Amino acid sequence: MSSRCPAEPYRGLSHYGSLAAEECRRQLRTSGDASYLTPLLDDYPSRGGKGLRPSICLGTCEAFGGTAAAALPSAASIELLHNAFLVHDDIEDASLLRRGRPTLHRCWGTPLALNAGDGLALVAMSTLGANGELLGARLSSLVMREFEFMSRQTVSGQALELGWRMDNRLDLDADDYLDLIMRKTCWYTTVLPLRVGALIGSWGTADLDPLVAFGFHLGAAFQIRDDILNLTGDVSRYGKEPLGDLLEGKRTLMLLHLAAAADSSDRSWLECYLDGERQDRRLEEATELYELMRRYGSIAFAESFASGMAEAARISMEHAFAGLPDTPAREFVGSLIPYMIERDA
Amino acid sequence: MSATSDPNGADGGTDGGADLEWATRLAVEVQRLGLSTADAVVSRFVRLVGDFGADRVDRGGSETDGSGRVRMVADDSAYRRLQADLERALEGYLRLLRELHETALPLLGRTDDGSATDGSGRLELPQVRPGGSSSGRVWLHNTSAAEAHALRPWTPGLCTHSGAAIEPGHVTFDPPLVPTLPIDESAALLVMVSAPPDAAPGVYHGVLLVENLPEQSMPLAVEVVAQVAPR
Repeated sequence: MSSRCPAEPYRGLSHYGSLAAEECRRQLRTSGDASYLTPLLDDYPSRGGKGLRPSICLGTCEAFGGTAAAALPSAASIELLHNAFLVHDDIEDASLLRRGRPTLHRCWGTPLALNAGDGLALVAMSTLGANGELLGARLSSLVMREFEFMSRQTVSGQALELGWRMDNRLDLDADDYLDLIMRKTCWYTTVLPLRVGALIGSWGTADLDPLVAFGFHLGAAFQIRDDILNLTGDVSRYGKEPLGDLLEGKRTLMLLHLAAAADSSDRSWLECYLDGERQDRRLEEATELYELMRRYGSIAFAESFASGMAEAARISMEHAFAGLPDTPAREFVGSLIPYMIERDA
Repeated sequence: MSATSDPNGADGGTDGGADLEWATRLAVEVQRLGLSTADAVVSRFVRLVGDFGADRVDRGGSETDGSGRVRMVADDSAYRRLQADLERALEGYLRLLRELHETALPLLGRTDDGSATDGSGRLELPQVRPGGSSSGRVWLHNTSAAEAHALRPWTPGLCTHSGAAIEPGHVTFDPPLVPTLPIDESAALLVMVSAPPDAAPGVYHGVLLVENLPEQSMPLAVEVVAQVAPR
């Protein structure tokens, strides 16, 4: 796949991301001022993320003939929901860093952070309320249905991953892994933003099924790259603690590949390592696990897998966006494909 | 998951240790594996999302009618776009109806003598540009013990605080006359103000009167603006 100039996705992310960030701030301001809550609600959104999800939604809306303004509440809602998920994920994973700074539960304690995660989810849902006036009853109910389906997939995917860790499951294959990331990552990161953007942009006339394939391939490339960055990324740019996924025992594509490829001795060591609790695992052991992954080609496997997903995304986008004019918005969405596997943050 | 790496290789291939043939074989096999499993996952989820809430929300795509037959027009994109346009128009029309209804709400008064509201209501019409028209609905309820006859609504005209006026001829009523209003029945009146093309911007005030209802009157107002605010 040919590589595109990174300036294009970054320009688009900056443009659409800032629109959504302003709408998020506005929504958070209107939610009032409450002690022990408001500063926590503002925390993660103010740390500045990539704005990937709302940008996909707004760009797709424009590509399908709509205006960014029509999709703005939906895009902001996605971003707020993403921040809600992050707060809870960080607690569940006992993560130390988020966007380069201590996680919310480390700053404020788990009870207040949990409550703030709930609060962000509520603000996200109330943000969708603006769609009734903006889009009319029928279209806004379709958008709400998309959010409802996405929410179910996301929580079921997160439950699956946590359950696998709890039961120390390693008898998993590529289908299990892809099913997992479809649920816990792809649907809310790429599939929902694409589908909602297309729904609004086309005023409900677009065929949304091809966007599932495009969103899945795009989201899979994103997730696998994210897992690789957790092992090899520069912490100052990536913003999470190094080898955090290995310390958590997260079932990444690399880990599942290693479990399948390792000889009996290394596999026994791996099972023993994963059997413990996070707090019992030492950085030296995580580093040893990382070396095993390198030795067995697990990282190369994942990189190659991600490249395949990106290529599949390119093909499926042609189908999903067939017949749409060649606009800057469409070009922006297309430029996200190479971005997903080349990004360093 | 199939093992596609070479564990005897000095390095997994990320930093130059693997030979080109091995790396190429790995890439091809991994991508074949990835794409075939991805296809299965996508198909599964397309089915899932299609089934989700299908009985609750009709998005106008492929669907079956009551007899279970697929409508022939389901995949016609021109038809679906037309359908969407019609739905937009319908929603706009319903919004307009709601506005009319909301305008009329304060006027839903019950009176003792078979006539209009008790006078505490006020008919405030939507903004209008010069040359345009604006309307609202008024109800007459007969809660008296006798039939009412020859109820003719009219207004002496509207004027602003500075004296600009809309003449009585620019205010019309539909129906112009309610010949008979039996006991416990109601009649709706549509009040329409046509702003003259040269009407000066401002809030025009007037009063709505009904012949044969000497005790009743209702304040009436409409704002003429250079540009109507979007709804």
